[in-house]
Amino acid sequence: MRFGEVVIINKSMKKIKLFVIAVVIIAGSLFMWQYVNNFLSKSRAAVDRVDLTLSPKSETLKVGEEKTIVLLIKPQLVDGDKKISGIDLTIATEGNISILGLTPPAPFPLGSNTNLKGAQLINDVKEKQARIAYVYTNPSNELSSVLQIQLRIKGTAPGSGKLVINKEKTEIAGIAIGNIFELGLVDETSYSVSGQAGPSVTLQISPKTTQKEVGEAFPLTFQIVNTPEGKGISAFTINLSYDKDLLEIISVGDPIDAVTNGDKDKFTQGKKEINQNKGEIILSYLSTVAQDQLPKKPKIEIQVKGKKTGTGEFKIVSAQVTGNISENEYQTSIENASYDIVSDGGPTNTPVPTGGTDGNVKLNLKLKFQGILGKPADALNKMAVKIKLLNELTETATDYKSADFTADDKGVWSGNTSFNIDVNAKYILYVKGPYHIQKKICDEKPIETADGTYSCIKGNISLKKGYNDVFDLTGIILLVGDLPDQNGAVDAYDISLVRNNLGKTDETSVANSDVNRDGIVDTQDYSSIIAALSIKQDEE
Amino acid sequence: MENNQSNKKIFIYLLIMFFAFFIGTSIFLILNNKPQPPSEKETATAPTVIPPAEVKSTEGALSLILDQEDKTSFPKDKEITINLEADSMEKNISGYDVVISYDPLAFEFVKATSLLTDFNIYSYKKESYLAFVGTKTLQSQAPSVFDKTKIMSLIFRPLKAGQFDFVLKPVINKDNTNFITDETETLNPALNELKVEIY
Repeated sequence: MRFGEVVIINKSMKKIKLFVIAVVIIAGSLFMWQYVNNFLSKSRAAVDRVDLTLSPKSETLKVGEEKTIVLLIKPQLVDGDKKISGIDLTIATEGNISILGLTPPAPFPLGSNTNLKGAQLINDVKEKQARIAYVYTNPSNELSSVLQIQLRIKGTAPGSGKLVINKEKTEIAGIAIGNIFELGLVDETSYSVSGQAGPSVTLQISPKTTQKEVGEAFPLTFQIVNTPEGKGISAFTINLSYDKDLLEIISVGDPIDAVTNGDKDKFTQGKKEINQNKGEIILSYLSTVAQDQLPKKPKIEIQVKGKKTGTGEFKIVSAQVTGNISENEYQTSIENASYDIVSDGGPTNTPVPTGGTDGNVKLNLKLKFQGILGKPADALNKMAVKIKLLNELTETATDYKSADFTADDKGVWSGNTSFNIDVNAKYILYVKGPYHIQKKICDEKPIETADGTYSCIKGNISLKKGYNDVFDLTGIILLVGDLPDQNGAVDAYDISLVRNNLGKTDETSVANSDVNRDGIVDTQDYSSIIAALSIKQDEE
Repeated sequence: MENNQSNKKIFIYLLIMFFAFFIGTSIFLILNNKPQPPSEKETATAPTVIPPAEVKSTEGALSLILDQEDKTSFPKDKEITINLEADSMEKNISGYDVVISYDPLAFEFVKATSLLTDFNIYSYKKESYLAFVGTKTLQSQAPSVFDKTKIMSLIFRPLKAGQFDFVLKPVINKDNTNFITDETETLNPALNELKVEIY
């Protein structure tokens, strides 16, 4: 090799070296930039993480068997500052398990923060997926750091299944950078479902529906039925719940066997706790008689009394039943009961009308509103409805009275008010909801064939002094359209308010434009209000 | 020569260090990379403030103009077309209300048509006036800023000869004329009136 060639090769090598160094430096800089940008500059956000843990992580269920799984939402640093203000969580099942339900988030440990107040925006449970959205309204210092949700799952077929939290559709809000926690550890579970469905019994509360007056005592019966032929019940523990504001427990009897309507001595009391402040009853009984003498249909009578008007459910929240079967524990199916406490029609023990107590005529009304088919979440289950009466003879109208209405499971809203009027006249009733066009009603039981089509001219409503029968106006639908601040018409402002808030779940947006009270301003609200353009103005 | 070789060694060490750094960083990034929550996604507690409906004295303009702008006289046997021209002062509009008073004995209202494809119009024929509600479709995400934009076309059939007025009114009964912005702000535009002669 000649000298000239060596120089050229050395020069080429130098160029290659420089090129490699340049590439290395550029690539290094890019990685450094990405590293700093993604991690170092967000180091605090990384600290603001929550772990979502499920317990138990593995379990064996029988086909048809139900289990409760606890989901804990816990910041990685529980230092007193990291509080949770809201959740939007989606959890799905894979394989042979299904989701039956999930409870709203509660502070952990239970009862640790009794001041916590919130609103359930979404609780959408489908067989294979459930979503819950919940926000707390407390100031930040009153929020909880750790929350728990209980999920009820059921084995559907032999095999395996698991619960999977959908990270993409889950957000935990709170005192964190950007108000949103990053998700840290997110558990998956693995369950195996075995064999055929085991022997089962049905736990029921009867009668399934009851309507009683305020102050009236009535019995509800808890009973275990459908016990397999030749088998009996050796022990049972049940946890019952009821609305403490609507019902008062007068007494809880001892169990008897419904087969003989006796055999009290077959049962030994384990636990009998009645907590009127919580609306909770826990009962536990044991039967120590011979296997072939075991009771087959334990029955307990519970005497209750209506405290104030409203509807609610008497529920079996959890149950454990054992017997002389090889599996020891029965699988259970549950049948709850609902109750409707109405006004007693007399001057004593009556609810206080929210629309005023000064009138000589007391009205109880039942209403249905467009787009609301069930009971909204508690925080949304109250609407202030304006009501007035027009004397058909003198054509004079009363002032509006505002009354709070609440809904039952069927979306029927109940409320009451009172007026000082001449009871000898016939009246027209005007009802206007907080998101609604005013409805003119001339009949005591109006009906319509299509939503919003009822109309009338002449008032035909007779009223009497004191408490009148419940005015069941559920044969007609009150159309939405006139949103706050109301001006008596559906206009571009109302429609734009819904349109501009679409998808929002914050308190203000929901309070102003969630007309179907499902906790989110969505296309259903928009469609409802567009439909109301066919009426446009309050009926006068 | 020795100097050259030590340079080579330094170069190789540097190269190894950089590559080690890349590999380490890459592994770290892959192991720790998590999907970032979409920044615009609504959260359960995202503070959203709906501005109250502010009513301003006059903002923007709404004008009635004849379709044939050079003519003000029309034969009785021909329908006339009046357009509504809007100026929203750079505000993005999501809905509007319009009230037009006219002589119903002199004209029969035939129809109103939206000249904007992403707005629907709802018409209300009252005793002596017409009320309209214009609503932007849900599908439309494009901003709707009116800048002398013809938003609506109205067709009337003359019933008798004479000189008549079509007047945009700020309010009649419970019907208003206004624009509603994408922030649910109410704008009260300046309004005009239109004289038409029928012969």
